[in-house]
Amino acid sequence: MVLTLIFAIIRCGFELIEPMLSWELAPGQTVFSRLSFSITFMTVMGLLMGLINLTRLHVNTIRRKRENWVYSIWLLFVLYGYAIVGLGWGPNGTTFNWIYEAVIVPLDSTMFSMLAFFIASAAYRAFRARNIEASILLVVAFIVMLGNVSIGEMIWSSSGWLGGFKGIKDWILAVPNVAHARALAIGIFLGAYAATLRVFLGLDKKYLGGTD
Amino acid sequence: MTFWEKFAVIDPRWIFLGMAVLLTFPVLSPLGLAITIDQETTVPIYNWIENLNPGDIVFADVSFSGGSEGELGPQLQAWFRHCLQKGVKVVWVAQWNTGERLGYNMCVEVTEKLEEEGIHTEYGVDWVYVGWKAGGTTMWRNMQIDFWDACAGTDMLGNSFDDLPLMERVRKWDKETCKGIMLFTAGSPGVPTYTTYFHDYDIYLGDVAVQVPGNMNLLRSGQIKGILCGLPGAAQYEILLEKPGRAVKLMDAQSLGHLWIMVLVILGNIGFYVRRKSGTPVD
Amino acid sequence: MTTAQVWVAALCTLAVYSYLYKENPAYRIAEYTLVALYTSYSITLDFHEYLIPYAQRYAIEEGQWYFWVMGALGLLLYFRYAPPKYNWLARYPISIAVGWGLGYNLIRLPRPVMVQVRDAMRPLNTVNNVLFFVFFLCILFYFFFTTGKESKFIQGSGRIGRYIMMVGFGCAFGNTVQGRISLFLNRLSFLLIDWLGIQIW
Repeated sequence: MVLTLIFAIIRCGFELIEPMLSWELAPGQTVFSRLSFSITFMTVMGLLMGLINLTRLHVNTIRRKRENWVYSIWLLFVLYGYAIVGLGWGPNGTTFNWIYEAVIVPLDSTMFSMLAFFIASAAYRAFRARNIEASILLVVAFIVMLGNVSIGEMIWSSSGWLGGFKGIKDWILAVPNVAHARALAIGIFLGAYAATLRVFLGLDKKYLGGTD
Repeated sequence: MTFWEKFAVIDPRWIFLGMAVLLTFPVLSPLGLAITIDQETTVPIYNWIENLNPGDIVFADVSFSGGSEGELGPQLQAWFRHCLQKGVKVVWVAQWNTGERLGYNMCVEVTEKLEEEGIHTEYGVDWVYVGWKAGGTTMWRNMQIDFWDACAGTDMLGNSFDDLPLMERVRKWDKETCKGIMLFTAGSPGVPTYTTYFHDYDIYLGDVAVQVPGNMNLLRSGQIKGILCGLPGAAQYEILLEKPGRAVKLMDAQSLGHLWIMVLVILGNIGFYVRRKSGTPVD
Repeated sequence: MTTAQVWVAALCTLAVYSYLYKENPAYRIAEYTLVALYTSYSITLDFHEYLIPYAQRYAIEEGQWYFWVMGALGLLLYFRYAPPKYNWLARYPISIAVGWGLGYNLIRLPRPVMVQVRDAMRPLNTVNNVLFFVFFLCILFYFFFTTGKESKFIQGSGRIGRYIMMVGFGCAFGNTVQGRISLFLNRLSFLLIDWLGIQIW
């Protein structure tokens, strides 16, 4: 906790006192840059933690023959295989990049794209205009959706009265939505800053693995 | 069971199938629906690049991964094409390590297409891909103070900055060097890096649609100067460039996808009220 | 992408989409593969794009001894997996990293929000500005949970604030739909055009 406070104060000093940024250890080597590089170096030394966590979890699954244990074998094979390829030949290696382009990007992209189907299913199952609030949400969502696409332009052109769906959507995004987003941003900031102060003052030690 | 009761418990796989089939036709054969250009969000970004002089340097940041490739990929490629066509030099950085190589591959695709069109560009002269550097926002602060030192003098491909002529002009990331920042972002880390340390720079966003309502807040307060809003933003940019590409052609399918969801919501609500009126237990 | 890459990418895409029909081994394999690959990818980048170049340049060439000290401190992170008698050692590097980030948050985080607060105080000379200010205050009043419960004004404003928040959520939903469909369209166009080669346009 004392270390946290010390480094927080040092960092505050660098952020508040501009001349501190120019303090040099040697020509071209500022204290701030060397301190931040070395702290990053320290945290990057933990690069194997993800690997260790996954290995522990899946070795346990395999040993106890839990559900889907067979896939855990596959996971460990891919995990260590790709790590060896990457660490051995580097991220600019042909195989590493081949797998990145052919497997990682499509898988990642497709996982997210499944949300399109789930949003359709969720919208039809759960989106009900039961009360005023839900009705407002529904109407505004429809206006924004129509304002975003060409079919909305066909139904009610932006050169027409009120600017069409697009014009109304633009107004909604510019006035009530900004009021909403700004109020939420301020509220979230106040909460986050309070949490930061709690850690700074030592009232919150959860980051150290404690229970208070 | 009445129609509405059956509809309420319909297998969701029929909805998925309907979505997939409905979107296949406009993807294969676009309907050619008109696309309006957004004057407040897209045009400022276009005008920014259009008003720069050949040789001016801008910085671009890849803060997304494969999951947002569908929206930010077309934006990135359209914007980068514009820069190269205008002779604007681009220095690429990446806050997300998962998107570093994705961004680079997209840039290479653009340069290859331009080469086919007779526009020659050279890595190290017209653009440099510095890539991802660990350290988060603090690293970006160090880049402001001394760019070469912060990046250990190498780009993503391992080339020394000494071998890249463009980097000779980029010793610091300051306002003299940088004529604006384009950030393609899908989440965190992303915008806060720039609204804290680069608050007096001209910042433009290429944003996923989900985050646009939240980031409109920044546009209104002047912290950012323009936003490309998802795939429509990319389509609008392609039209401004007079080079309609994949984004323009997918906009028709967007329209049908939206219609499908609206029809489902309307039918769901009609069914809800019909069942409620008839006294059937509703969800 | 080469032909082989296109085929592998297409098979990966279809494996994930097969989940929409029902849970199946192809989807599971794809899911586990992605988790494993991303972990290894991050390790590779951390090692080759930070550890090696920065250690070489700063620790070895510039001879900055404190890099080795910090590196050793970083190794203490692995004591998380040590028996409880020793795993407190992992707290040192965590404390340093948290403190360093804390300093940034304390000093730099308020500014962007203060700019927004300043912008919220717009001159009330247009209808939009008046409406914006009224909406903004109403939403703030909605979050007064501990005070003003008796005041009908706060209650009423809070109610209006709720409705305005529904407008904001409606915007979010509308844009979310657009975003998700865009992601699907990207994959669909890859499958139809890049993989199957159905080129109409």
